Amino acid sequence: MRPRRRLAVLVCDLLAASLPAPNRDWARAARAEVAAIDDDAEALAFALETLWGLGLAGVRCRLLQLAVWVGGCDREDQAMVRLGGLDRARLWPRALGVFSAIGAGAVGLAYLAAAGAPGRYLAINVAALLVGLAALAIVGRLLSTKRARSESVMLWLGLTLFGVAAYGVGLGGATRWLRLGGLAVQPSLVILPMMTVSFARSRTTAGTLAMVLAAAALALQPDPAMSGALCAGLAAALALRPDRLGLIALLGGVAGFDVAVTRAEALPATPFVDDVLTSAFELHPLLGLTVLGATGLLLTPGLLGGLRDGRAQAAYGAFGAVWGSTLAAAAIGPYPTPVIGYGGSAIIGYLLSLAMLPPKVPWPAGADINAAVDEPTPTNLHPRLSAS
Amino acid sequence: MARARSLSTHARTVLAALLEAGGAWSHGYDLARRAGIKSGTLYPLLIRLESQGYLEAEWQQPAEGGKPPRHAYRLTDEGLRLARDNPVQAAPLPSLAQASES
Repeated sequence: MRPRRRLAVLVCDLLAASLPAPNRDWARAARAEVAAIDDDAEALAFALETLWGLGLAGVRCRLLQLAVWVGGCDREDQAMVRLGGLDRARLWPRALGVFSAIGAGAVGLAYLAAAGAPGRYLAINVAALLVGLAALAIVGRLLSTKRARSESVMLWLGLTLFGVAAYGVGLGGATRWLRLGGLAVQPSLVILPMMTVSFARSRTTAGTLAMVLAAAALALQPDPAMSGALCAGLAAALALRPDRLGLIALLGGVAGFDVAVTRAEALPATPFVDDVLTSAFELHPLLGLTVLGATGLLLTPGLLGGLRDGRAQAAYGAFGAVWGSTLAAAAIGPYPTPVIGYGGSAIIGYLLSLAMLPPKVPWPAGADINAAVDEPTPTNLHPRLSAS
Repeated sequence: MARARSLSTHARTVLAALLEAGGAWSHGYDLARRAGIKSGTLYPLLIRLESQGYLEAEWQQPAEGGKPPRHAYRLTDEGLRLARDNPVQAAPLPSLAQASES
């Protein structure tokens, strides 16, 4: 076989490898066309063009499949992720959050490197990202099969925060940390976002008690930033789905916040953890803007999910409010910048909170799943087709 | 069933090329040439059209031996309606004869 022809066949093999399994016939189709073209140069050009357009779309789709799997979706859901199917990240809130965490985490690593942080800090953030992804995969699957047990889990989580206030590591009048293997872990950052989003989605008496316990624990620690995040999340959830239990939890949260603010002492800013946004702008305006963009990226699962999924708007709202207020607090005060600054607790907490969001947004009842996707592909070359 | 809302120029061009073929089957390479678009644009579009029921596809044995079966496409009734409702707004497509001469 002549070199160009051989190369064209190789490109077709690459195309087949890049496509999700249900779309592989299209690589076979392209290969048959290449075989039908007499001119070798023309055949190679056809193969390369197809790889560039279809192959890249296939790779993006396979990455989405992986993120959907990490999000804890079952095989049936994963099978829907194919070209021509549900192949948009915004239809999969947890998967979108996985991409957001990885993207913001990468920006964070760039910031830490540019700011001269020790290499150990970068390694810890990467390790936390891997642990968080594994935790999301496990918790996401557990929740889909053992939803009924989440009430007792919520209570235990609330009590854990109390335990931290009583037996945790203290610094400057605050007791928010646990020391695990030489690392300082902030359990409120790991637990609280997950608890708030879970409560926003499914409110029970036990869940309300757990939220009030968490609010009291944050007041005792004291942790005004997380206490504020709790209030923001509960307020968003109540505004989007008002009910008595939501109001009780919010009142508990506000009382806890009041105490936390009164008791808290000003802590000095920790390099690479606090004041990340200001520090990034001081290093370079472009880095500052990138960090700012990364903070917005972290909020996309809540914003886009809320726009598309009317059934769980309270959960998306709570997710956006918890992380939005945490990021806002970090921007204006000496508080940790989640996922971007140094610190594994927030990275794990962000990924765990994704597990409390629905795995996918709904499509119109009775509509064919393929027809429900009506937006252009990421290459922006395709039509807008919609289900009627 | 699905209907058109706001089709891209590429989608309209491909639909027009398929419409012009009438009920005849088209192959990817010929279709790309007739529509004047890259194959990397054409195939994702064909996948979407097929998954939404506008296009039917089948494997056809080649006339000459030694070549693999080719994937061929034509519009379904829904696809024909979609193509008629969304004509190309720019310059007309080259005819099948012109395309084969070029």
